[in-house]
Amino acid sequence: MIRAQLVTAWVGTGVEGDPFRPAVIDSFAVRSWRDVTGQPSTNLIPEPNAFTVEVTCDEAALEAIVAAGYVVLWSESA
Amino acid sequence: METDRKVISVLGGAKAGAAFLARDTFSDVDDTELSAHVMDVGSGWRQDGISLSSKFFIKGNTLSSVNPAAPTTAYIPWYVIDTVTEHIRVSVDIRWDVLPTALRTIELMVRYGDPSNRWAAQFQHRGDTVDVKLLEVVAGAQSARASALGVAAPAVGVPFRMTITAQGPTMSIAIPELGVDLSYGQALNIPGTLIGLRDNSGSERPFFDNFEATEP
Repeated sequence: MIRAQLVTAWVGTGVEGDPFRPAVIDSFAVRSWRDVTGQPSTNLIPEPNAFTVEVTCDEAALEAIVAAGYVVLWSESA
Repeated sequence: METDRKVISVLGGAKAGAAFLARDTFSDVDDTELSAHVMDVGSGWRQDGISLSSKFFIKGNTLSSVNPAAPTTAYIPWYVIDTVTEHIRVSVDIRWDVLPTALRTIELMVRYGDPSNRWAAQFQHRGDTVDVKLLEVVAGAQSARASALGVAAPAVGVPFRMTITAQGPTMSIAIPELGVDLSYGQALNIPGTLIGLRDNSGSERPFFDNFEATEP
């Protein structure tokens, strides 16, 4: 498994069943993630729409995330 | 009143010797509505949320959202207790006796001010997998702050223990039986001192047991 920090947009409408969440988890096989920037809820979704999350995923998923153009700040074996 | 006692799970629960701020083993007569039930320790449960026709009931010395007057109707009960502190560890045993065929959601809530302002460990059962989310609700807007996704589902009929801990700016969720361990470090914005349970699992409902709250 790989742990990585990357920049993603928020998606969602903030209603039940569609909470604000990082876009990257909707498209890639992320096992777990957490918001590491603590952007206040009252500011969701700001301009520019970008914040940092720490994800855990396998190597193939991270390669796909990078190939899709996400900015990966760092990664390491978990 | 039934007097039988039950063995309390120690997995992921309260620290040994910790004083309970709230505790409920849900030992009572079947079909007792939760707000009429006396907790083992605590100020007592009260209904909150949007639909006050949705209620929890005692069933087999556990807690269930099955309404004895309408057992096939799906309800969304949520109940809270005031523990007078924002810094708290809350645990509950959860058991599904049927494999969900659709998305089923329950929440263990802390720092609850009102239905539109709270933190929750949200457990979403999809049948063969589950998602666990740390959910922040501010002025009704819901934001996930951490999640474990596609976790192998618990076995049918086997309880697992979910714990949410709120200590200063750190909020964490642990489910040892499923290998879930989430944390978030900037959770200061909701000052509520209520804790509680919410069941939005439709017609495929779990049973809850051994609810405990202690200091972190």
